[in-house]
Amino acid sequence: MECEDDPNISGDVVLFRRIPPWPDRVTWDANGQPHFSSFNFKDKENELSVHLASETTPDEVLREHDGFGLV
Amino acid sequence: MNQLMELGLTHSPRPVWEPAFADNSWRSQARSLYSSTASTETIDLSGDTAIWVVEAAQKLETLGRLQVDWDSYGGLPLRPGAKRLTLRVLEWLRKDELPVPAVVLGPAGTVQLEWRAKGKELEVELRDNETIEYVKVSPTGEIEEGEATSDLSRKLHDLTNWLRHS
Repeated sequence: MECEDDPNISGDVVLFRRIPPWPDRVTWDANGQPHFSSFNFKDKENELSVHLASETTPDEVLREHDGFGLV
Repeated sequence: MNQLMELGLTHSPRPVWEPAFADNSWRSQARSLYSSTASTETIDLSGDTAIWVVEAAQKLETLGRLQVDWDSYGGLPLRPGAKRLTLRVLEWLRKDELPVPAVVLGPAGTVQLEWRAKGKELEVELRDNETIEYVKVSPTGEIEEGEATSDLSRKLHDLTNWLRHS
């Protein structure tokens, strides 16, 4: 099914995405700045599942996902 | 030819350019680690193999242990073809002096190698169909994307040469 843009979701809406606790998903440069692998933001069907921050909480997104992070 | 076996991944707090071992002891350690499995996937550690290649191979083995849904979004396990291609790439580049790359499993079971050096970023996705996709980001933020389906060794060397040189 081809996805369509939903005009009801504005471009500045806050989204949450879980980051798995495996090596190199996030690396840190010499200045202590995090770099997130672009693979954190891909799903296998070339889509991306995210949570609308306005409809959930970080704790809810991370429930039963021990060790995961949140972007 | 030494064979690759499953290895544990250890965190390295040192700078990416600093050798993992103060002397050549890493080579004998790596040889012993890579020599006692029946796996058909191999990597040649003879001669002047760069240290980053050993570390990248260790990371790859760690990724091979992840199961379906490892990312909580239905991510697939490491594809055998992607692993084979990654080992070939490591062997092609094994004498090149490069930073230790991030080795990242993709949601479709492919592998991405990610380097940062000299203000540049290079991402190379290694698929299981003998295809690579790459993204180059220059220090000024200019982005170049591409794909290669043949002569992969030469293309990989072109990309890493771009990363290494000003």
